[in-house]
Amino acid sequence: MSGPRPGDRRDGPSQRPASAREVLFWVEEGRLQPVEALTHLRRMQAVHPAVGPGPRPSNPSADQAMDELERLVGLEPVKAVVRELRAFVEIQRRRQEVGLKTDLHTLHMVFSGSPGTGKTTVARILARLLQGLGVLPRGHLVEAERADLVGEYIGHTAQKTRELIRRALGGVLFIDEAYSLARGGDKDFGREAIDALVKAMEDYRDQFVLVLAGYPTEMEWFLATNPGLGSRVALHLVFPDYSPAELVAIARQMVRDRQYLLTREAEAELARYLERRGEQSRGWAGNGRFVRNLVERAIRRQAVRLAQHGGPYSREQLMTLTWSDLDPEGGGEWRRYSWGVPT
Amino acid sequence: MEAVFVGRPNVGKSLLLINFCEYLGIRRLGPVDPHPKERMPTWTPAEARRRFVSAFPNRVLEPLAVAVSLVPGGHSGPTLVLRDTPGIPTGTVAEAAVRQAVAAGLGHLLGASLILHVVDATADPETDPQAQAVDAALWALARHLAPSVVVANKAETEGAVVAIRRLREQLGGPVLPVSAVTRLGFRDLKRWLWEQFQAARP
Repeated sequence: MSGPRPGDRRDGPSQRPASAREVLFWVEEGRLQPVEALTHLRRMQAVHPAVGPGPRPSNPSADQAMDELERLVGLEPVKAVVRELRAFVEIQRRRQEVGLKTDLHTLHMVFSGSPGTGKTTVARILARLLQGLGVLPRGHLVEAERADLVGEYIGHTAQKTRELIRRALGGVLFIDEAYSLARGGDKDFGREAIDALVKAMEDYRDQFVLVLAGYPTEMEWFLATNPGLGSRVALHLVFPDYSPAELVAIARQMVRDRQYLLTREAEAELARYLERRGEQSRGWAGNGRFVRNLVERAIRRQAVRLAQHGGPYSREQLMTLTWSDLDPEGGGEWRRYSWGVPT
Repeated sequence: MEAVFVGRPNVGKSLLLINFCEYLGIRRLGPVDPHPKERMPTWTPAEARRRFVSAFPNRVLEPLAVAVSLVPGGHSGPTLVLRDTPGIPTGTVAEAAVRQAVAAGLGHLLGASLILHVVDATADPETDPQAQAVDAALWALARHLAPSVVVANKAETEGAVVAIRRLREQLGGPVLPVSAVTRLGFRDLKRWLWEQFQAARP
């Protein structure tokens, strides 16, 4: 039988798992043999003894957020920046404890990447991480887009924007497609929103984190034309498009989270399909949302298939998704999803 | 507190757990109930043996966990949870469900308060070096995680005495010879659990 075997290491050269959780995860994925897993777990126990005071106090909620981030498929550059951020914040806290000068400057950020590359997901995790690290008291995420900021008459915009910022205090304000605020030219009310945001970034600098998200090229232009915003942004996270292999890994993870299983054939076919699509068209090719829609539709189609076939069903049958369920080109229902790209 | 039964496939973990529970006087075996109001299925030891014990490896994907009381005749008082896990295979398994179950089992191992590492006393380590590697790695991890004991199952068979002596030398830890079938060594197993249970309680 052709197609990747579970034992293949598809995600590049053999890496070492970083946490016990990752070891279990890799065993589940078949990337790690059980005997190797045992050895890795033993090694980790040696580094972090289960009992006794560790070199640094553990921080459960921050650790949990970090774990969740590490669990995300791909996104290596993003993870690297967040790891740095965490280390930075923790060391600044330590300095504070011993009375040294600290430089906990503002942490406003720009997320640039195509749609469906995990920007909102990372923002949500980041909010919880910053809460765990004691930077943000509430750690919630307020998602907004142009329509939530820009009003219909003079004065309305400032009021709406201030209201939104008030709601986001203590957490993260995530503005998707942020460049659209500047798209309407000088007479547009978007300007007013930008001015209100710049002011809030100064006035409430320690009380919330602003994340401006959007396509890479548009965001670059947006920051260049609004130096007031650009100069107040401390971190720039670039979300790369997913590779076909990463998209398959995402599909696998989604399927597992929903307690389903992909047949090996389905995984192999999906990989081949994504590979083909990727060559034909860039742009939406690395889109996680596309895969999510595919998986959700496959679950519905599996239900239809099983219902037609009639019971009784085995546990395995109820869990298995085949390529015929997943195939994006099969079935007429597909058009409605417009390839998972927001219009 | 949780005592976790770990080991390679087909060493007799499930049968050992069920028969040991029966030995302790448990009449209904069932999962440890997380929601007291929900009725979970329970089995008599005989039903559990039919359901969980088979000659084929990796049959137990949703293993048993039974709360037992080690105080004789007492149904109240502190309980210990005895938890079964899927056998740890030598290589990567093709079925995703098995891999998932094995990973879940390793998760329980990491959280265990006591570890019973079950081995097959009849298996000749020379014939299967891979299996021996799994047992060595498992034991190295287990003794590091929590109070652990090697439970040499199938000790009623011929040649087991030699095998058990060899195990003691190799692993350098306590080895309890037991037999899930004849219930040999169940008293020693219970005593070990009781001592560890007492020692670990605050």
